[in-house]
Amino acid sequence: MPTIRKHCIILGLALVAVAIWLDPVWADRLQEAINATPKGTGAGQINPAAPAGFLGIPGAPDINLIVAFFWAIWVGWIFSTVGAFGGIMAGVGHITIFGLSNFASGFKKTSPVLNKLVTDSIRVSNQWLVGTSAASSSFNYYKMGRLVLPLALCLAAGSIAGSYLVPWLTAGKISLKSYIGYFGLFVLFLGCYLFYETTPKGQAGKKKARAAAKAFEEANMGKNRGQASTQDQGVKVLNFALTKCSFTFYGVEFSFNPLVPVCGGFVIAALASFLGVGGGFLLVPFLTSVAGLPMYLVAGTSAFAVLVGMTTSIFTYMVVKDTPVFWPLIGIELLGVLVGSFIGPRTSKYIPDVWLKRLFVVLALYVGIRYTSKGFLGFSLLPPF
Amino acid sequence: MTWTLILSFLDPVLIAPYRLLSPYPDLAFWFGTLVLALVCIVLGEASMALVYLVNRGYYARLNREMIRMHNISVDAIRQKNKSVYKSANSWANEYFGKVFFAQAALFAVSLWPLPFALGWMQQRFAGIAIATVPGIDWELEYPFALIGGYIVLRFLFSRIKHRLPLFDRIEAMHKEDAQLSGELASWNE
Repeated sequence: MPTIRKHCIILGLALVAVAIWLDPVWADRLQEAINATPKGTGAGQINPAAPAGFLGIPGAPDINLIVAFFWAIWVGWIFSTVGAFGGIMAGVGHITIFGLSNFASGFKKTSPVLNKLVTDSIRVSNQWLVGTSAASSSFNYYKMGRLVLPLALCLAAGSIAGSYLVPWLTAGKISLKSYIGYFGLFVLFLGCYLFYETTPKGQAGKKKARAAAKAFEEANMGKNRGQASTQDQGVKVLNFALTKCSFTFYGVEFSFNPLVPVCGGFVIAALASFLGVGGGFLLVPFLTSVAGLPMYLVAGTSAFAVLVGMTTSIFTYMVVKDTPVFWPLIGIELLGVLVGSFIGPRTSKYIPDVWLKRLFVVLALYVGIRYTSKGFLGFSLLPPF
Repeated sequence: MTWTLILSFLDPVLIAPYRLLSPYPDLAFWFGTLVLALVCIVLGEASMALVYLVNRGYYARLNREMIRMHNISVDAIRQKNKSVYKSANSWANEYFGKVFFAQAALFAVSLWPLPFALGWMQQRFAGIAIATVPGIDWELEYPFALIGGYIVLRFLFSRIKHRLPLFDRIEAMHKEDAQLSGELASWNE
């Protein structure tokens, strides 16, 4: 298995490498966008004499790498302690903290093509930062997880469709304002979900689950594991039809609708690709709830789907749609993740999980309301207005 | 501090290996790029090893809890106890999520030098074709050389790293932690 894993890693990285071969083509799209923008020193114009900044655009913000670094420590801290929310915070950095939103908004009327190019660059930068690391590290789970092959293929088919269609249909068409609006809506939804998890009801479910597991463990301590009859062992598919797949794990029956993973894979990959987030954190609960799959199988299956979706999405943005990426920014963010990863596990001892979640609920509500109102209403309901 | 300022410090160091074989431009480019890729690999792997060393206990605890909950879920299903299976499995998945993102962060850490190298090469070599794909006339530029070289060298590095100082210790710790976490019960075996 380790050899297969390594070959898979090499293959995956090679595919990603393919996505960044065509450098001259990016320059074309960027150059065309710059050429299409009126020249001058006024608002919504490019001053060719100004020093080059973000993506080499004259007069664009020359991102302060120290600010980027400190923001990335925050992202890394979240990434290594809570996980999913790291991608959201990376997005907030790209949109707000680094000044790209204000810069791109300035070209909304004078050069929509430049506005949309910056939007695409933000989306694909988010995916590079969060997605590739999640996808690449997920190979680790092949050694302990297995694929439920029909389920993984259904998911992968949906993922490829979603990850290809979204960049193909939307690259160059989504203004920064709409992107911010949708991003805000997603964060709001995530905030509500996190909020539910911190309510007494959400907490009670988990506590009960833990107590049940612990009681069972104590009652079975020292007993021999292999007590199931050999007849019942493993996963057995009872019937497989277009709308219902029933199977047993050790004689206990489970069932799911095969169309659900195809649609789920499509929706999750499309959402991840549209917003520029990982997607893995949505797949795991999805797989657990669709068929009650054990972690053992969820790990490998979700890893496979994330990798397929992420590679397709980055490839489509960068090769098919020629979207440029500002490499030094990704580099400084990874350095921040490095420091955040040092700090994260140290602090997590002192901050209970539920309080971390509460912190993110507040942040998610703030970012969500602010971005949604800014994107869809044209003004922010929360400060800074 | 901006990228332009950082570049002015880095440039003389990074270009030095390219000048070693300057009478042979093609060879010099590949040699310099492979040295750069190797530096990225060593810095990245060393950073990953340090983060692991500092937080070893945390990663081991997460892994242990994940395996423990998973094994309870397997035991429960073997005894046809579906409700305990669901409870333990939901916790196993919760821990899996944490382990997954901790691993993802670790891997991201190992990649940090690469985008800087790409950014530097973009300034130095953008627009210069180093090869052409036959048949379709795609011109390959510096990302092909750096990322291609990085992947191959990282693969080779993974083969020998257990013999290198620091990395041999990390390898032994991984093995020790895996043993302490116990084995993941399988559904089929």
